[in-house]
Amino acid sequence: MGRLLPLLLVLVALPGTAIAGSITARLDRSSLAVGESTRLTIEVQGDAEGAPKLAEVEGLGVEVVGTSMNTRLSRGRTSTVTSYACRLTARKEGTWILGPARATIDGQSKASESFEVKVTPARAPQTAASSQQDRTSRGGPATAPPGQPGGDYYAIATVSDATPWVGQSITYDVEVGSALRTSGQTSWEQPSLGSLALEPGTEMHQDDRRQMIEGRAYNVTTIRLPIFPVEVGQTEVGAARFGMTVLRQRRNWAGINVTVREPVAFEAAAVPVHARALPTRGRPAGFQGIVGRFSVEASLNTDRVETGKTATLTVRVTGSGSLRGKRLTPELPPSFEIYDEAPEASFRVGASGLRTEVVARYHLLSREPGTFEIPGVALPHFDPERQRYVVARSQPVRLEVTGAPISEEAVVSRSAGLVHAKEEVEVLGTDILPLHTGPRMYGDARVGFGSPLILGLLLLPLLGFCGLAVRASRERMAGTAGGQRRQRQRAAKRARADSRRAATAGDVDAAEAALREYLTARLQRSGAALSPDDGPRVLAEEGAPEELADDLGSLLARLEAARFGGGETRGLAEDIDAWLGDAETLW
Amino acid sequence: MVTRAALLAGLLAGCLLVGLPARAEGPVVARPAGFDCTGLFEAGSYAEAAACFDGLEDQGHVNGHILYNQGNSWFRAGEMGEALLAWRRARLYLPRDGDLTANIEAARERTTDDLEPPGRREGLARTLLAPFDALSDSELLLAGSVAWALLFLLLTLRLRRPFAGWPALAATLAVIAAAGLFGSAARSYQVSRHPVAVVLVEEVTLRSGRDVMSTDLARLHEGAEASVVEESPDWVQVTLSTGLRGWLPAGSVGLVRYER
Repeated sequence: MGRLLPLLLVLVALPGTAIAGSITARLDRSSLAVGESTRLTIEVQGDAEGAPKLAEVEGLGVEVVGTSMNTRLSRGRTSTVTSYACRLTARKEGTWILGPARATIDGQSKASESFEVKVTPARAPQTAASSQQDRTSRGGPATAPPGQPGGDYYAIATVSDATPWVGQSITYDVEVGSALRTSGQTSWEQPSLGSLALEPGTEMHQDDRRQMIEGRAYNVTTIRLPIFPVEVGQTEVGAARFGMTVLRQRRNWAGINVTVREPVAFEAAAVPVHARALPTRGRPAGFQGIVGRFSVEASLNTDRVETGKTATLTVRVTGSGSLRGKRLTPELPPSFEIYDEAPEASFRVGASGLRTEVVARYHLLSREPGTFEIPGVALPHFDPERQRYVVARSQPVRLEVTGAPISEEAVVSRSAGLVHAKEEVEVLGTDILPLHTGPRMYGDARVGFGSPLILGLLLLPLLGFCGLAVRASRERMAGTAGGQRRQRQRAAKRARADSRRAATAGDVDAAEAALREYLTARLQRSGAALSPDDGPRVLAEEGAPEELADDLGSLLARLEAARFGGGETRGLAEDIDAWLGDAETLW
Repeated sequence: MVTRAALLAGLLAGCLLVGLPARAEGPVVARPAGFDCTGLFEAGSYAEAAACFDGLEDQGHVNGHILYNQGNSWFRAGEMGEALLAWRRARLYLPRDGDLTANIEAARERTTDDLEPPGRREGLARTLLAPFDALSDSELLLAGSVAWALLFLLLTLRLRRPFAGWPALAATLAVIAAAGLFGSAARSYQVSRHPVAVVLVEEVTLRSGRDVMSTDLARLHEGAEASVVEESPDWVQVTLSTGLRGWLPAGSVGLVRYER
């Protein structure tokens, strides 16, 4: 940074009458420890020539982290307000005067107020928790303006601790605010992390809220990433770039206010981080590079178990920081076998940084009986708050093992199923299933009401049933007067048909048989024995016309003569058929 | 004479029933010469394989397996709409085929529009109509016809020699026969009058009327499915699962029917 702080800007002069220019500055905190940062906001109202200038102060560092511009139109007068969000970092102990910020606005030199900043000795190392407490003590994000009041949108990035220890979990926080209505999602490009790395197994935390800043409502989003330094030395979290579409009210050529979509891109400045090396002095045996503040608890699911059977030792590690997959190994008596499951780890990224809870389960199996004290499970780690190494240890637990001693082979056989850490199946992709093959592919599977199969199934049983039903009905009807009458009528019809065939063939015998069958059907008595004398009488008794009865007598006499006396048979069959025709009509 | 006819009818019906299982699976015939569609598919000529399966259908080999394979070929050829159309047609013949269901779901995951497929039942209706949905039109018809034939065989037997329990058996068969025959008729009516339409082109506009000047209602993409409400020579009126109703050009969609 130079002797004078150059703030390079592009100011846009808008048409219309401008409101009188001014420059104002605000400082979030006036008391800082060495290494701490606070926010300085400079607002320029009016048409400024170049960027505002701020004299450099020996004990303070100032850098611009974001700019925004807001143009207002009121009663035909325009006003342009350009906001500069700066990070003020305390470098050296002492009381320093910051400012005033100066700028040439509308041709006139203007100056803001100045501030007295008191810098106290360093409180390092600063941790995520302490950093959060500091923010809370000054009112917290809910009450302190989070960005540049008056600006349309802004983005500010910070880390929870700018001088962490190697391996210490910190958070990278970026706050994005917009006082304008937006369309769609705000996109962001994750910054480069330098020699820092994302905490494995964790996810980005996002918090959305609406907040009043300087009487203006902002939609504020805070994005928090848990990270940790991998190497010792100076590095930085790169600039985070944002893009969104804001909706502005503009007056069109007809003087009507219309909503205009305006894509905007802006960024939060890079954040420097200096990673400190862990001290070598006092490093405990078994230290695996874990940095944080942890506590360890251990418990058994039972206090008594038989030899060859297992008891489950549950070890729960909680605290701030991350174990990053490091495993704890309980110390056990020599007669014990141990089978562990994959630990269950859960993380929570909150305002106080990364909170970790790891639950590991160990299945313990003893081959020898006895009462054993299982020592506490130790977790050596470096505590950044106390700035020294600490060994967190669970309380020892007691286990009574009963039964007879067993061999090692039996143990292995019995406990083989215990080593069974399951993992979630990762789906890599989807695809369709293969072709259907074989002879089933060919042929026509269509079946309709017109198919012979369906017609056969529908009609044949129906017809069969109907035929049998008709027959059964006839059999039932044969015993009744009506049934007998219908039978006789059918018999008479059959006889009439037979007589026609006989007449055509000139067969007298067949004609006589048909006649006698007809008479049997009509007279309810056998017609076979009717003589030429009886016939007319019986017919008359049944109500037949006299002439018809006489003709019957004549026919019967001719038949008798033909049979016994060699009488003439010519025309006899025709005469019988003719008589039957008359009988059908007249009787 | 009547008795003999009835016995003959019963005998014929019995023969049909014995031959029914083979019929329900479809007749098994040899592969027609010149149609090595599977070979084309395995050689990576997917569009040609689809055309080959199409040719088999033209030859009268209309069954769910041919249509399933046709869908697979279109899918591999990158024609998602044609693939979904073939698979949905295959489902008319193979409603319980697991491969088919999996492939349809895989294709739907790749479509653009977030639409519920038409005809999907939920809750009580899904449970109650599960037997109906699990059977194809042909299977419903066959089941109904067989139940019908058995019902009249039972009634015929009862004429000759009544036996205990026949009313319950006859009622059961009558219900199955009615459900099968009416279900088949209803399914055929549904598929012929209100089929499902599948969008075959990359993008098509749903309009408020049968006119390119009418209001644009929605933009549909290949593979989108909708229920057909009405058909005219050049336009098809459809309803989306969202309730939106409009007209699509007839050439932009394929209809899920037994016949092409």
